[in-house]
Amino acid sequence: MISTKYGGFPVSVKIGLSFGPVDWEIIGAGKRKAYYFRGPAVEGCARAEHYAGKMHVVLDADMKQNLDDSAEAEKIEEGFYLLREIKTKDSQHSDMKMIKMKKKIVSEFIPSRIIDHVQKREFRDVVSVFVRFKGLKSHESINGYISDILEKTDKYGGYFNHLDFGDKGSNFLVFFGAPLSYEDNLIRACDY
Amino acid sequence: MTGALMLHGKEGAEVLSERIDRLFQPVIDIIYGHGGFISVFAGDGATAVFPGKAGIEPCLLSAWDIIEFFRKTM
Repeated sequence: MISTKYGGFPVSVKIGLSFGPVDWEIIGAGKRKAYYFRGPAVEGCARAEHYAGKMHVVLDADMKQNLDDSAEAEKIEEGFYLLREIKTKDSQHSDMKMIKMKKKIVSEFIPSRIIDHVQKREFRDVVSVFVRFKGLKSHESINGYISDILEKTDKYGGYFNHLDFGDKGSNFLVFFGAPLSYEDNLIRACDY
Repeated sequence: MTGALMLHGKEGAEVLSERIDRLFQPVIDIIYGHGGFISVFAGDGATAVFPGKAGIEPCLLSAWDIIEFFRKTM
């Protein structure tokens, strides 16, 4: 429960883990770029998460296979295992090291008018455009399609949030109205 | 939570944003501190990658630490 001056709100977390290949690609033939991660391990952890109850860690079979004696997991469904215990729990993680990215590189992925935008905290109406696409498997075909989308997103003043290949299939999410807002967000989104 | 805090306008937005930071930042710290990285945030979730076979143990420890963190927060 996290408490605020407007009342308490329950919070919980579910975690799915998998092991296997993950492909990383940068896309964008034009000046705007995006990136994605995909592969069996990305899909596997999303599937495992579906079997996780609140505050549970669930492993899929590929992850389970790669465990040594230091972790104990119990079968809950065919191919899915609940993490019970980690024996050698020497979990001293180091301080986070963030790599400082050059603005020139970042601005290939995020328009500079958004990088320079100072975010105020507010509730705002936003048009969200969630697009699921099928049939594009190769990096080349995805690159061709998404390059076109990136260009159109810029043209209409939208914000390309991300490209994802998880449990919801191949999809991308674009916002009109955040972080930058125009008077005619709705019209821009419809034209787009 | 969003729905309830929306009724409080600007002030609610401040509270929500601050609480989300307070939940997400430790999770990000745990993942990066164990040598992983977040490949995508989607809604109220995130996908993290721990490279290679050597990533298995830090990945398990991160998952465990995140659960622990939420348990303490709850």
